[in-house]
Amino acid sequence: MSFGADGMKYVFFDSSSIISLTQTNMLFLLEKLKSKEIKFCISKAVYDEIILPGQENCQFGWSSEQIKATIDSGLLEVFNLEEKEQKDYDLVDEQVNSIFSTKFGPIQILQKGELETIILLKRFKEKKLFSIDELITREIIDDPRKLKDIVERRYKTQLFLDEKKLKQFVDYVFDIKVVRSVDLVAYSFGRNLFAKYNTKSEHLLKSLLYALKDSGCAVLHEEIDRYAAEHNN
Amino acid sequence: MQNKRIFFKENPYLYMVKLISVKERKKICDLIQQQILNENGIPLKKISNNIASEAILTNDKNLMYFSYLPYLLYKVLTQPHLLHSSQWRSNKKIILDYVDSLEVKELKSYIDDINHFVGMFKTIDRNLYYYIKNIFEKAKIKKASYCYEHGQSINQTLSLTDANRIELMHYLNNSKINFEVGKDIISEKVAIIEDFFK
Repeated sequence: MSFGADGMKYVFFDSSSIISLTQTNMLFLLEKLKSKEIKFCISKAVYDEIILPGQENCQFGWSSEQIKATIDSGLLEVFNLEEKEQKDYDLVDEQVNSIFSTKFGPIQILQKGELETIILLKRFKEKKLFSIDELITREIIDDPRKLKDIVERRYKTQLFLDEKKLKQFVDYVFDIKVVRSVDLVAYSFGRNLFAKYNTKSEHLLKSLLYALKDSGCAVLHEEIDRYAAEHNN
Repeated sequence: MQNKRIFFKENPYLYMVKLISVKERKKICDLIQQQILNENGIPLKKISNNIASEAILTNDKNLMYFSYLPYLLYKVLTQPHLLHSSQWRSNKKIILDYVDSLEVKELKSYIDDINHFVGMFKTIDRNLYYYIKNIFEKAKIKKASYCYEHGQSINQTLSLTDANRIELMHYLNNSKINFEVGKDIISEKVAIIEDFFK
């Protein structure tokens, strides 16, 4: 079966990104950004991570209800791995979770939600984005060597890097572009999708981005301030 | 290596546990008891972090749960209102007996065990119970943040610590690791998104 030859474009969300958008009341952007050739998706594992805790615990119930309603409306689609993709999953799991190790053994970096999304993104040949708000998964795809520097300082023991596995993983994810909820919202702001607030001011842009930062999106204060100032000029 | 030995000798609280054998666990429990007797909580924080480091390295959830105990006790021992309460003497004895019992227990039972520790104060001292219950959840967030700073993804971190995802994301917002992203990337990423939606 060939995927992605239909001119479709896919945006996959990790739980961190979809939760940030939900908590800041910005899920409506999916409807504004969606078009015939754009699909917004999550993997089954991400679905389980965000919906099941809400069913068990009222503390997360409201967020998961909103996401569930977005899925029911067809704006957000849930994708399962196919049987043949399970082999890739196992392979990438082994690869990425043994890139870094200590004398005690490999360090597990990624888990089911992120791994499934990576495998699903590889299913599609056309344009695709991975929206993820947490730093670690983003860096392992965007800049794994920098991640090593960051992580190495934290460990009290020597950290080993398996160059071969790193190269294999980097080659595997080369066509996956990673963005964050702040980047999607900054883009949406530029497209005037917040027009109902009747202002396109630097203050509104900063307020939106800070709201996402407060919901856990890994972004720096300086980054937000500089971008908003640039955007205003 | 020589320096390391001297370092540990001079700083017994910085003793790095190695896969926590029964003998080493006894050593840690003795250190914890010593601090409870002295009512000095500060070294317990370091002990907790050292155990958590080991739990991260060995991907051991039971060990992570074991690290919660010195953290909870560190918080309790730094609260004057708990130490000056009329029930502190009996509470202190209960805590000491509990730590004593840990020396010989199986490591695999720590998850249930620490939950039992928190629950046992429910009928003994409600003030202490609610304090420890709240701190227990905070301890999970603290340790989860510690895991995240060690390069584990949020999901991996949550599975090791049982922390609450949303609270962790809020907490990480101001964590040290997020300050290590030196790049100014919003413009770069917006350009990627523009190209995608073109």
